Amino acid sequence: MASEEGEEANAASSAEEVGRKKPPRHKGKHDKPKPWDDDPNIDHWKIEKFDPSWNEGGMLEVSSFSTLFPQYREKYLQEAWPIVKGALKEFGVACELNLVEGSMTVSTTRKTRDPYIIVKAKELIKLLSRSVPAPQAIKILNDEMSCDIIKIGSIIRNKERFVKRRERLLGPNLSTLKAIEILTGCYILVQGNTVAAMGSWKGLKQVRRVVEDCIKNIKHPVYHIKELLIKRELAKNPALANESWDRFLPKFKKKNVKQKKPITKEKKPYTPFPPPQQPSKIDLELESGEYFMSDKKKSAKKWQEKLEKQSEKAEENKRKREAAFVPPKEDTATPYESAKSTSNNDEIADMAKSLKKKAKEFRKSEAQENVRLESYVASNEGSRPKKKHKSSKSK
Amino acid sequence: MTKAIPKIGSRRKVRIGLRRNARFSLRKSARRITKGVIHVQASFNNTIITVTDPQGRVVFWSSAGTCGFKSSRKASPYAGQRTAVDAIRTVGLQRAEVMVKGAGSGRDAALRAIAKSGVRLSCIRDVTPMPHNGCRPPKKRRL
Repeated sequence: MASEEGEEANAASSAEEVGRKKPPRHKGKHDKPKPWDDDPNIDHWKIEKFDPSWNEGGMLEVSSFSTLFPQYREKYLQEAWPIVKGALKEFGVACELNLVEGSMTVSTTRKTRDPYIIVKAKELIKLLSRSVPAPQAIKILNDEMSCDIIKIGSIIRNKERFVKRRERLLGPNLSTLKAIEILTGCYILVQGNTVAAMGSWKGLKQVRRVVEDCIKNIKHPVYHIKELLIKRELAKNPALANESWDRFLPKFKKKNVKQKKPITKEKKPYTPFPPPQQPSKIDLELESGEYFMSDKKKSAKKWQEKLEKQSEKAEENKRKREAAFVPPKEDTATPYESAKSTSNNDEIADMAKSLKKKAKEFRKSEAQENVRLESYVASNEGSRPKKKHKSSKSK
Repeated sequence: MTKAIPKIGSRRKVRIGLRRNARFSLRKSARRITKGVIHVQASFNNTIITVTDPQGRVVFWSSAGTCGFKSSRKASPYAGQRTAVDAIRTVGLQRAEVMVKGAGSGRDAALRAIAKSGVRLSCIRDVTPMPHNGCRPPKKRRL
């Protein structure tokens, strides 16, 4: 019982302390909690649709924006202009296509209510002049859509490197670009020294990072794609909403590895014994006797070899040159006679061969008969070497 | 000779002897004008709205940060809207010219909030700085 009473007393005292506690002090007025900090009804990223009743008076003066377009775009713009004009008319914006100057102009009218639509119209004509198809460019008039033009030309000076990195951004068969488009939810157009992107603000921020990192050679677009895929999956999980995603994202470490060309070697059958040692240069010289020669003799020998080679080559060349002047042999005899003569020649050759054979056999037999015993038995006189006695002179 | 801009009261004398919290209330007592210029600077991270008189002298300024938005929320359209309302309500403009600078997400919301608050807009100008290949870009960041 006593213990229970004690617990109750402790609880009461702690409650009093909580009651006495002052709310946390904030340094400035800006740090005070605001009603929109935790209000679930407020969506910070939702753009409120404009109601014409908010601005019934309209604009007091005319605001207009114009942009130039390249000549190759003229034909397409002429065809697509009615669509553009119709889209802008809904919002009370006037537009004009000047083919003489090569410019497009948008301006507000008395019917214009939304002040921001003129800025959107300006972006529309800017996109049209940058080779964006008209149906795609008209989407910019929606509230959720915005556009961004990323200048990539000034990032890198070297033209070859720039082209290479721009192609890296596109990927094989535009696969990398399509992947980025799907993951960011943006329309991307790479053209010349700039990249035009259309989409939501969050998507545009991601596109800008991917493009700049690719052109600056900081990070390959494939790594960004991988990261975006993981982030997309993590966003689906509400449990990880208030956690840091760093542990899930891949750690990118740039490695500057020089690529070596692969050297292909033919595989030889394995033998347990080592190969025989190759003779060194000195060994070869010792063998030929060149090692003991003086430098003069060596150079003379080399010179001699060189001269021999030259003479051989000269003779060969001479023979080739003279071959052009040697007339071909002409057969003056009739075909019957020539055939007869060839048969006679064959017979003579056979006879000569047989005679030679017989002569050889005769010589062999003669040699066998004339074998002398003296040549095989060593005589004492012949074998003993003669010694020269040197007389030593005594002084 | 250019005319010197006349001082509208010496702030230093007023500030002496005031408590720290009272200083913030000074900003709210900005001079009221009926005609002026609203400069909307919308970046990817914040939205700053400056109200000036037709000569270009700053009357009042407000930003998403001063309105109590923190971190990434400063760049949101809602923050831009709140900032615009805060700036206009304080000054009490009736007619204004709008100058838009930058391409942030807060500019459209800010413009619509200005129109909604009853200010008659004379014209809208885009004064986003565009380099004609001007400055050399900073060196690449190393990862």
